[in-house]
Amino acid sequence: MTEPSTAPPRSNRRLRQRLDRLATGVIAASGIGVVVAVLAIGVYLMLAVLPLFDDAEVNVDAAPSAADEGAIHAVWLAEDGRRWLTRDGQLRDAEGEVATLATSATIAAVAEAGDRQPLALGLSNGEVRLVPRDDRGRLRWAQASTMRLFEARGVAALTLRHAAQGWVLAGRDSQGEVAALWHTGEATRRIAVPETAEHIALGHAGRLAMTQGTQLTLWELSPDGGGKALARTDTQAPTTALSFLQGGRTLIVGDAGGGLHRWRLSPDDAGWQAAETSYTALGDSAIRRLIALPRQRLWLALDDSGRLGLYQSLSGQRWQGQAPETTPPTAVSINAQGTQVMWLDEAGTLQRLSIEAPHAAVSPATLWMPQVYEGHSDAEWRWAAAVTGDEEPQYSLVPLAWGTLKAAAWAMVFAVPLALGAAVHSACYMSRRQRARLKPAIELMEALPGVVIGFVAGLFVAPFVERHLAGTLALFVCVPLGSVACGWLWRMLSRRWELHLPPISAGIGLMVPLALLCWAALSLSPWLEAWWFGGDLRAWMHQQWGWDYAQRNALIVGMAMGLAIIPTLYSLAEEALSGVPRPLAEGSLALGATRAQTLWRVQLPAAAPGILSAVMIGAGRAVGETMIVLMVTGNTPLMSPSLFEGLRSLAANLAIELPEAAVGGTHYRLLLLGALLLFVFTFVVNTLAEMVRWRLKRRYRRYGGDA
Amino acid sequence: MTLGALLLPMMAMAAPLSGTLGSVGSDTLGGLMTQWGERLSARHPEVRLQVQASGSGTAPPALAEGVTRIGAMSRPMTEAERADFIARQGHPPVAVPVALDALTLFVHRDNPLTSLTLAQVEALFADTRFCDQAPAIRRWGALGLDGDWASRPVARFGRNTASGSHALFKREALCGGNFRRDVNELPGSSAVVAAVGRSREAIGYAGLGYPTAMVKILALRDDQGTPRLPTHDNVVSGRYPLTRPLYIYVNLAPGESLPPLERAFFDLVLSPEGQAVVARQGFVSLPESRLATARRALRLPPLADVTQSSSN
Repeated sequence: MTEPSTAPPRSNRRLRQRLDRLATGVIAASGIGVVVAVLAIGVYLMLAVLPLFDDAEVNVDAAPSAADEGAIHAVWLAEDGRRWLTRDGQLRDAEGEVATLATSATIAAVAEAGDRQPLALGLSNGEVRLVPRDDRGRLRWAQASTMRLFEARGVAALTLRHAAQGWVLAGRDSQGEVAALWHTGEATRRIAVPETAEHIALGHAGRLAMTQGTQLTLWELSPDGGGKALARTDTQAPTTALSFLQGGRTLIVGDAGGGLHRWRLSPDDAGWQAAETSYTALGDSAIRRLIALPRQRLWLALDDSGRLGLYQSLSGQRWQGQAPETTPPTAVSINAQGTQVMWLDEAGTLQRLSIEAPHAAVSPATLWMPQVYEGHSDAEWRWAAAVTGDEEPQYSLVPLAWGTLKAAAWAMVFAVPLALGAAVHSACYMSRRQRARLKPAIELMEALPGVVIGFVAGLFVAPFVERHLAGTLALFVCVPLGSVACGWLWRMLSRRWELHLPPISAGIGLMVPLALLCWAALSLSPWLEAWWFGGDLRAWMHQQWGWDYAQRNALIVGMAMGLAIIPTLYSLAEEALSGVPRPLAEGSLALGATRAQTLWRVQLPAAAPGILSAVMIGAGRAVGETMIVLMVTGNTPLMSPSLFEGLRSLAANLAIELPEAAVGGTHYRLLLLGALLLFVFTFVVNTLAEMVRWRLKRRYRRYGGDA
Repeated sequence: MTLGALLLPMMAMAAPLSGTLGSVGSDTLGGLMTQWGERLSARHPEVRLQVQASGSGTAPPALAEGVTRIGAMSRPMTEAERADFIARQGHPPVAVPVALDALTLFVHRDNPLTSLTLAQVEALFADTRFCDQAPAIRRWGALGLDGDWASRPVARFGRNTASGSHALFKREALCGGNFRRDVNELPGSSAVVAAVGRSREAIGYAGLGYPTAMVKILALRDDQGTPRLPTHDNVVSGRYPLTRPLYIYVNLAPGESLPPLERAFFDLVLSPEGQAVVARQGFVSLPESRLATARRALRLPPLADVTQSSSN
């Protein structure tokens, strides 16, 4: 090219300058845009996740609306707080009396169990009155029915719960005698319980908890009118309040010293789980009342000094404060969402508590520590999205983090030796021309979509490996050993040909013996299996080591995801190795070192940081990979290190569960917390890897390389 | 609003119906929805039904956010989902039963097992014992199989949590307990069937409409111990224990009538033609009385006189 002898015309130069400035601007803007976009994703995730850790709040209505005179002696309050029932059977609202329950006795106790079950009123003459509900949950006062619970004395306390095809109700009279009624649709049977109790609470399936002083007794009532004692335990201090939580498998016990304890039914419902759990106490005053809320296993505790606390069964105390200065509550109502609690006190004042604790079930302990969940006997890490709305939240991120790392680790075990071996071979042993052909071919593998790899691995490889497990494992031993053996043989045989043949023919020459070897491993393994492992390797593994084999397992993920990250690993490692300045290797060879010595002592150490960064970027890719893990594993959130069991990774979990999660809910935010963890992990790993590479490049430049 | 509600049906009568109707929700109902969509296009050539079927759990958020007006669900909405919808839309959604389904358990066709009790189902799939106290079943031998089956481990397959089948199975078969953590969760009923068909030791559950030659449907024993296959009669009568209605939820304010597109869709679905599709897909069509009730709830014109007289 020759330089133009004259300068371009002025207008042309100005245009060029302008274009140049424009290009600079566009490029800078794009660069900044990318940085901003990445930061924005991080910030968005942070903002979506932070509300999870907001403190719970309970707001006490500062100016309680005064109810009318008749609200004194209220025993029941409607959910909207606008109607209440007095001790003498008057249903009233702010305007006055709405209806009267025809009875000469007074109402001493009330029990409710959601808007599907009747309202039970315990009368001072020993009767129980049941007010049924219609299809929409409205009480039908006019259709109340009466049943007798006690002969001699009046009812002092009642507890009611939904049970198989009906309801069960237990009551205590003024002397502490206990009796129950079980209604099954066809009949109602009375069950006499020969115990005396100060406090009673009904759990699921007719489990009745009773306390008398420091004794805690568990009974099993049955629909046919029978019952038996299951367990007797002593508590540390005399019990002053008792309540089962939503679901009826967790009992909260409040005692005279202010202690709050959790007792869980054992998995077989026949007693308590071995360890009781204590919660942070409100103070040292006796617990006066426990109120179980209908969502998330939340509950309120109120003590004699007017301290009020909000608790969650697993994450413990979420809020503590002071109840409004009133006399004890006489009638309590809770809305269906468990966000508003109202009560009328002895003076007839209406108190309103609004509870803002949408994510109360999440705490660092429930996310990261094993918990004893309802129906289990041991502490476990469990992840299970709530699907029925009534189960205990099981939100531990540990199984997902474990699954992510396990999948990535096995993928690295599979990919690192192959990719590094290939990189060393093509960077140090191949001619420039061969390398120029091989490298793009391997890098082309990166274009294989994860879905395709996942599909093939999940639908074809997994069942194949399940049928030919011994053969597959034999392959893992035979192929590497076989390649080494073939390579060695090749050297022995072909010293004379070596000068005439290009080194690539060694690779091609390997193919045939390797294919033979694979065939031999697969076809001989059934005999091997029959010979050594009694015909069934999987059964043998189970007997010998207790290993189970799942069809979708970490082995398959390791192979499939290993295949997916090989191109990345290979390409970066190859770049690092071929970037090692020629003079270094040439000097070493010139001084008489062999090729292997040069490789081990000079080239690999020089490229080590680059190889390390390649491995890190490969690991980052494996951790974030979604489709392969989703399709190849069974998405089982297990915590086992076994190569033959499945796993569930954070990324796959996100893909599976995000579409169903209610936006803004606990589940949704936890999924985004998983996303944030992934983001931070890959961000940190990739940044570190980039830094290592950058320093390496500087070093090469010092040695006179061109990288 | 009122004016629009009055005008729209009139306009619909004047011009041929056209537009795209979107639906989000159940994978179990996915095949049915697609078939109904084709038939709807046959009736009204300008109308398309767009079906997104990734699980019942995806329907309530989409309905609540107003992304769609129709959500297919293979289970009823939970209280929380309902409350969420009401909080955003101001009125409860309308649940329209469109077909009956049964949760079926199936094994590989080579498996000699023919029936299970509900206690065995819990012992196979659950970590908890909320229904019964049967010990965990880890080998096929525990279900009475002998020979080399006795020592073979059980591989379990089921749906992912977004699916109504998962939720319903959890509520009905596990009594609300927890699944074992090694139950493989697959996104799609046909994926479950395919996985069971490819593994001799597998057992799985899914809706009725997906049997293949590779799997065998198991009978469930009722309270009397009689094995019941999920046949048409057993499902309609409820003798098969794990029976459920499939729903389409509509965002319909009380007092309003359906917009023309939705109206045309439900008119098709709740007609003999629409119900014939249900039967052909392997599900169980609604009995006539329930069909009439559903039509009345949506203010659709009653079907032929036969249906009307039988429902009254």
